[in-house]
Amino acid sequence: MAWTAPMTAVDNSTFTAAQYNAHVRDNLLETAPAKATSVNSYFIANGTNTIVERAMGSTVITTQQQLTGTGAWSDLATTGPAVTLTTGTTAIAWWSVWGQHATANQFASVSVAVSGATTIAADFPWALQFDGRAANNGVRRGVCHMFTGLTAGSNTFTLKYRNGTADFKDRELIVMAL
Amino acid sequence: MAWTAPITWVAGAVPTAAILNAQIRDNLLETMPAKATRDGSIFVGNGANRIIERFVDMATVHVSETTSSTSYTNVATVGPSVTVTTGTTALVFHSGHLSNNTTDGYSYMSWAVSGATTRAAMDSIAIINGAVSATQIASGGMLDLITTLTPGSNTFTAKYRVDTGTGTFHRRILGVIPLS
Repeated sequence: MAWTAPMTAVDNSTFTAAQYNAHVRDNLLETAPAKATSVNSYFIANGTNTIVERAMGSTVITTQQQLTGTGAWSDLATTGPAVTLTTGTTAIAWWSVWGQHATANQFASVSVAVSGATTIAADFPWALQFDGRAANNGVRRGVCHMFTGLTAGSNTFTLKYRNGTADFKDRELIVMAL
Repeated sequence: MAWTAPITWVAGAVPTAAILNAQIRDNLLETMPAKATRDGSIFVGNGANRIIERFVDMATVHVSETTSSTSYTNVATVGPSVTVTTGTTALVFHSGHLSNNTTDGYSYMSWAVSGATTRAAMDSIAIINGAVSATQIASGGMLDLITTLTPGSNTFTAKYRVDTGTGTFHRRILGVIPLS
């Protein structure tokens, strides 16, 4: 049931079952304790007078794997990491990766694509880039990005990779659904 | 109206209008559904028995711009910049692609606060890229928790500097999550 603006009681008036159910029972059922289902969740607004339970998700792939010479956003031998969450129109993603390029002064990129309820291709504006280092000189870096304009529902966030022959490991993705 | 600690009822007590209004109406008005106004907002504690709605925001500037200033400054397109209402605490994240035209030259991307709070940009919260080779681009991000804000409307603005040479800054992102 939806939220109803709590009524103002008046002395000597009759408090009916219908009023109690609407103003006490149903309103209490719209509060966080009534909606809480799991540990480590949090609550956000989902419109006027409505709240929804959300969760964060994270995945790590530690295995070092190589991307070979593609100019398009691609997967490594182990796709991901990927996080699937129920979101509203917004989510914040943080990712960090250890990377090294096989050729000096070349760059490799790691970005995030969204699939499921929303389709957003990985792209450079929110990509992590490794560039200009000596060949096979690894470094670990991280970036963050807030995705807006998502289609509410189940959305999967997946790391994608491109550019040259590069190795990646300790790939971590964290997503906070709003 | 403020939150009132729920009373313990006893048999035979009369729930007056005043009691019902304080215990049910006014307490319900202090809960999240009563205060929720917009999709995607978050709720944080704002003192004993009080919660408040806050809004997460992010801005981006995807233009490659430069500075040779050795003290924190704006580049041609100021920002990115985010203005949010906060309490004393916020989580700030920023990222960018940094390079320098001088080998071993360092470029810095930090952020300053204005409005209710005045806090200058500083190296301790900056993304720092040392150019292994001239024009080498490195991207990176930082996440910081600031607990000394003055409550109210605070504007967070990215700032830039170098230690030598000319720094180039691109794909700049800054976001704020108010936590109080």
